Amino acid sequence: MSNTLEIPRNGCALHGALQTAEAVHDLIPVVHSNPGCGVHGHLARRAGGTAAGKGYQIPGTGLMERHIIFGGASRLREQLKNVSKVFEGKTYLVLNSCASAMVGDDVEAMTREAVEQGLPVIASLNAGFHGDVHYGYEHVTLDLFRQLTKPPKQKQDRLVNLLGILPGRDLTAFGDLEELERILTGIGLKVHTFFGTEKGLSQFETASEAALTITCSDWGRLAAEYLSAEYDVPALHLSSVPMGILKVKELVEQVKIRLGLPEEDVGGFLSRETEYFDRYLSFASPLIQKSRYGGPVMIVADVHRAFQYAEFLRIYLGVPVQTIAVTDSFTEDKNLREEKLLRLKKLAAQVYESQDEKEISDLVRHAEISRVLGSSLEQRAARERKLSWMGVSYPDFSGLYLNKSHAGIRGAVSFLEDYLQSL
Amino acid sequence: MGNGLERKMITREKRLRTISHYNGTLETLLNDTDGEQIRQRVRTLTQINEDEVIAAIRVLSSISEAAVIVHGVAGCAASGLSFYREHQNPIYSTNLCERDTILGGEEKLREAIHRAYEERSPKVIFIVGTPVVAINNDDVNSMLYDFEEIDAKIVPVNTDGFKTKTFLTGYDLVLHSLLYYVIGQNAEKESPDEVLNIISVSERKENREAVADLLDALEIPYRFLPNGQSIEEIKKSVRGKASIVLNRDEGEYFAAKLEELYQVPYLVTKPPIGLRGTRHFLRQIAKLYQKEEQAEELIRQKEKQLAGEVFQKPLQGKKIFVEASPYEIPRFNTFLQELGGELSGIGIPYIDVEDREAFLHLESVSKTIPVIVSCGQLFEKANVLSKKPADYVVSTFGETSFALLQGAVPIDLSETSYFGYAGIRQVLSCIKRAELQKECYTPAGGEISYKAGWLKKSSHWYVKKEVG
Repeated sequence: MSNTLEIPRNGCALHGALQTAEAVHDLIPVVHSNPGCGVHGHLARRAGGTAAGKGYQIPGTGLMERHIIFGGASRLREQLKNVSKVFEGKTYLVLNSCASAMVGDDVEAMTREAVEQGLPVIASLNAGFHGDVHYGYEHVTLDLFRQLTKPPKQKQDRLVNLLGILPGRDLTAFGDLEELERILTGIGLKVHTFFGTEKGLSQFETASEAALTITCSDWGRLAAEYLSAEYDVPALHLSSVPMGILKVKELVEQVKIRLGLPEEDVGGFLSRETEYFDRYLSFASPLIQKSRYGGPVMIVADVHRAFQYAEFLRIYLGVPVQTIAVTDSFTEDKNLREEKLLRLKKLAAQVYESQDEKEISDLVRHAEISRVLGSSLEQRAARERKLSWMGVSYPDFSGLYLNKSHAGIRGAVSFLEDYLQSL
Repeated sequence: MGNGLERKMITREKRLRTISHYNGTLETLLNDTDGEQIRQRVRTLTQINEDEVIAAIRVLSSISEAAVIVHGVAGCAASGLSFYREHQNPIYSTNLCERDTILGGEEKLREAIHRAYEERSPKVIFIVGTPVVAINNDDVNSMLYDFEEIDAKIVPVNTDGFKTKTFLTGYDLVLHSLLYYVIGQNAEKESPDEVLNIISVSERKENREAVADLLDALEIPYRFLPNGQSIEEIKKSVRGKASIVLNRDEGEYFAAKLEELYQVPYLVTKPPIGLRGTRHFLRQIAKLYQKEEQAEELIRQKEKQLAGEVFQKPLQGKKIFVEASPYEIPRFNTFLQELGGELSGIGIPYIDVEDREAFLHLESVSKTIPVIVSCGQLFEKANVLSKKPADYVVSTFGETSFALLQGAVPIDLSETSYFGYAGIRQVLSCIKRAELQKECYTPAGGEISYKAGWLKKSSHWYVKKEVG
């Protein structure tokens, strides 16, 4: 695989950290970088369908040449002092950048200094060169727990944390969080979704009181492991975002066992959800049987989403998945990576890892498929071959995703509609 | 390259004394920018804003027969997604990682150049610089002689993201690179043509199309460049009959150099905004091509068609805060007056000595209206509007969230035309929509809100004179 990327879709660690922080209500990110770093990410998300963020309103130190030469720490000090006087927010989060990291600005010292003066400031060091948006999500989430989470006043045996769905990256992030919250609430739990909710900051503070952390992708593992080690919150790691009644039942069953929930709390709920899901699936059934919906597909998505869509297509629609192109970098854990690859290969004839537009478009051009589920970057190659295309991955240039979901039960029905309409 | 240009260009701050930070009134701005030196300002509180790397990628990604390599971390090319959506012209990133920030990224650049050449067979490969490369001092220029086997010109665009306060420098650097490396010494004016060079740098296609409509009506041949143009057509610019610039702040450097180096006359025009602006624009160009009669007929015909709607003065009695480039502000002023409105505030991303002249003669505008010179910095604009409310905020940049926060109705012209007669129709249509929006439900709050204490402070609280 080439080092060079054509149309990089994964941004950098700073972009990942920033878009994650933007999704936390009352948290004001302060970007310690040259002026354009944050704008690059914002422009990309605005085009790519996930720009539900703070955009040009984000405070940034706008480092200039003299800060690069003489250091930008004093500029950060000045910025923090002034940000707290202008922007409504309960906490300010300093994010560093390639430039400030390379010149050696001591962001943590500046943060400590601000805290000593009584300002609610925390920091997360995710210079762009450390990785892509996934790394940014993973590490800023960890830093938010490290710096915001308080020791539990009282453990809550029906409270769960939900991690691993990436705001700004997963097109349906907010809708999926809402749907999974609906399901877990339906079996009598309280849920910390952290992002896209007005209670985000307080949920970070009380995450230690939870009885379980559920991760929907590997990108939530690091933070979940921290909560486990520090506050004894056990983790349940899922390989994908649950979608469709069978995966929902599987999730509910696992949660029931972990939390010791009585059967009467979950049985009724699952019956109603099954009836709801089956009703809509049966409405769609006559169409699903038609051959034009059944041809082999290619999925271009991050690994947790690839699992999600491939399993759904196979289980409910009987659609074979010919090719999967995984667009995020797998976890650094080699055993876990091998295991995931093996499982993906059971779902698709060919599995590739790439985030390069050209490489993936070439796969689209040569695969034996009739449909592509991916991002707008594959649309051109799909069009060349007159293949149908459906947007499931970032970037999707066709519009703005607000709270559409592809998770759980209602999200699965919504996906079914999208799938049938996209032919 | 031997065409009389220095390889590196002087920054805009030094060349034109451009300032990007100011907050005051029209009167204080004119006073403070009087004389030989304009004292630079800094802001002690800033929001993220566009830099020259983004500006350079924006214009380069619109050029065909070229490949663009952003030499830096993948995130430095992220805005390329946005421009790819518009132009379908992919860009490459050298995808530098932490190791490269220590050991240098030359090998990755070398690989990217080979890849771009093999995959795209471009005539030119542009290398866009980024902060990591600038700080690391990667010697891109000396590498360029190592590619003899590649039949494409390799052109460095020396952006770095922190040496200038204005994003316009990105456009300057692209235009300079086009002149120095692409047009360069081989440019010959052996066969001059009758084509009018229209220097367009950042204009959206809707505005270019509106200008094309005007020239098509007069049967005047033209070529837009460099925005949306091919390398071959850009090279032909030296043959042009004359050049005009759609936004002087962005493209005058190119037109002036074509005149200086290749004797292509530079016809100074004003933007075709509003009836008066369009009339003036058409007459100037028609005179060059001796098509005055056709132009007068076109003006008569179009103005007659628009008279009803314009003379109804849909903005009668309305106060309007305008955000546009300084070159466009005087024309927007006359246009708003044609529609019955009154300029009540100005937001511009920069101002230089030449713009100041135009601001001196803004017609029928109170010298006490607020003027903010800033790229972005929405918190200051919110402050100004809280003290000097406007009915509408007209913006060609499209970041109007601050208007809604302060009860003004935004008229966003960033994705529509406002040039020529097509532009007048579009703006009238936007005004009608804005009227309806006034009746719309307004959601409470926003993603970010400002403290009441800030809105009571003077809006220039965080703008200071630069020391030294």
